Amino acid sequence: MAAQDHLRVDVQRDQERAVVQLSGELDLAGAPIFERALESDELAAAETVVLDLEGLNFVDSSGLRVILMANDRARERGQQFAITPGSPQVQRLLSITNVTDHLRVVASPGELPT
Amino acid sequence: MGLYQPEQAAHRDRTANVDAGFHHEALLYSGDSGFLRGTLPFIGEALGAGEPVLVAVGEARAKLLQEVLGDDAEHVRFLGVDQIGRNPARVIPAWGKLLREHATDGRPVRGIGESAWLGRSEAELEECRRHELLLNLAFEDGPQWRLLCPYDIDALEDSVIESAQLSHPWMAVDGTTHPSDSYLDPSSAPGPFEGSLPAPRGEVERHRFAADGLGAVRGAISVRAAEAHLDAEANGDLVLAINELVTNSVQHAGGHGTLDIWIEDRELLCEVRDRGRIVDPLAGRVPPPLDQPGGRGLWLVNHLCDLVQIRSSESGNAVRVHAHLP
Repeated sequence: MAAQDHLRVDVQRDQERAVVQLSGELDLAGAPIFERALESDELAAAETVVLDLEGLNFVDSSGLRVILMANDRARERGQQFAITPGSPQVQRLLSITNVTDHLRVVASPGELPT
Repeated sequence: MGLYQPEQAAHRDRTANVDAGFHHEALLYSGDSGFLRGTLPFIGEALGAGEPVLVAVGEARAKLLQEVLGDDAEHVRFLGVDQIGRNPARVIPAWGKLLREHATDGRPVRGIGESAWLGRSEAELEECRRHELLLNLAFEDGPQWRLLCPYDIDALEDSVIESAQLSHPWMAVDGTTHPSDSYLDPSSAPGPFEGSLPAPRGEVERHRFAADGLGAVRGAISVRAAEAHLDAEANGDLVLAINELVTNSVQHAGGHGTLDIWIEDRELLCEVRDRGRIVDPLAGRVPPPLDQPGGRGLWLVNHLCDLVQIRSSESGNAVRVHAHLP
C-alpha cells in the first residue's frame, strides 16, 4: 500500500503534557510503531499523556490493544491519561468492545490540565 | 383476553421440572394463541415471584405480549432485534450480561428467547441450531436461571423442531413440560465449528493475503461493498470485520490465507480461510475483560456482522460473514 496509509506517530511536549499525535492507519502493521513510541523518554517523563486520535482514519483491535497498553502504562507511571474522541469508526470500535467507560476522553489535547 | 392471570400462574407448581442451574426449555407452539398460552404463565410466575424476566423475541410477538400484559409489561424487559441484532452469536453474551446484572439479587432470572423466527434464512437457522446447543455449554456451571425458547411448529420446517429436541433438555408441548428424549448434553453434542459450509452460489472473487497486504484487503472490501450499495456505516463495519479475520490469520494461523467475496441471495458474502484452528467453542461470545489487552477480534466480528459462520477442522479455519444488501 502507499506510504500515506501507514501510521505516523508524533510526540509533542508542552510543559508537563505529552501529546501523542497519531495519523494514518493503526492496524497490525502500525501497532508496533505506536508501541515503541510509548517507551520514549519524552513520554515517560510527562505528568500527563494525551493520545490525539483525530488524524487516524482506521483503528482495529491490534491498535486498540496498544491504546489500552498506553492507558495501563500511564497508570503505572502515575500519569494522567486521556484520548481524544477520534472518528466515528474509532468510536464504534471502542463502544463495541465496551472500553469507552474505561478510557478518559477529552474534546481536545489542550483540555486536560497539566 | 383472559389468558393472563399472574396470581394464579404464580401458584402453579412446576418445581419438579426446575434444574439447579440452567433450565433450558423449548416451547413448541402453534399460532399467536399457542405462543401466549406457553409464555404468559412463565412470565406470570416470574412476576409473582419477583424474578427479573427478559424477553427477546421477534417484533410482532413482542408487540403481542406487550398488549396482553398491559401495565405488567413495565416489569418485563424487552430486548428487540434492533438492540441484539440478527446474529445469534450475540445472544449468549446478552444473556450473560443479564445474569451478571442480577447476580447479586439472589433470585433466579428468567428469559424467553426466540431465535428461529419465521423468515430466517437457511444459513441463519443453521447458526441458530448451533447457538442453541452452545447455550447448554455456556451456562452449565452458571447461576440458576430459566430460558424458554419458543418454536412455531406451524411456520418452521420439521428439521428445525427436531434440532430443538437435540438442544433442549426440556420440551413444553400442550401445557406440559417433559424431558427431551434426544437431548445432547455438552459432552456429547457436536462442537459449534464442526462440519463445512455450503459451496458459494455466485461468482467468487479471490484474494490471497499475507502480513504486508492488510491495507489492500481493506481496500478490496470497501470497493466491493460500495459497488453492492452498502451505506457508509455498513461498509465500514464490513471492512473492520474482515480486517479482524485476516489479522487473525496473519497473527495466529500461519501468516497468510485467502479471502473470497461473492454475492448470493441479496447478501454480500466474504469468507476468510487459513491454516489455523479455532479451539475455544465460546470464542467471540465472551466479552473480553478490560484488563486483557488482546483477544477482541472475533467478538468484534460477531458484533459488526448480521451473521458469522465459523468452521474449523484439522485442515484449517473458514469464517463466512454475511452482509444484507439494501
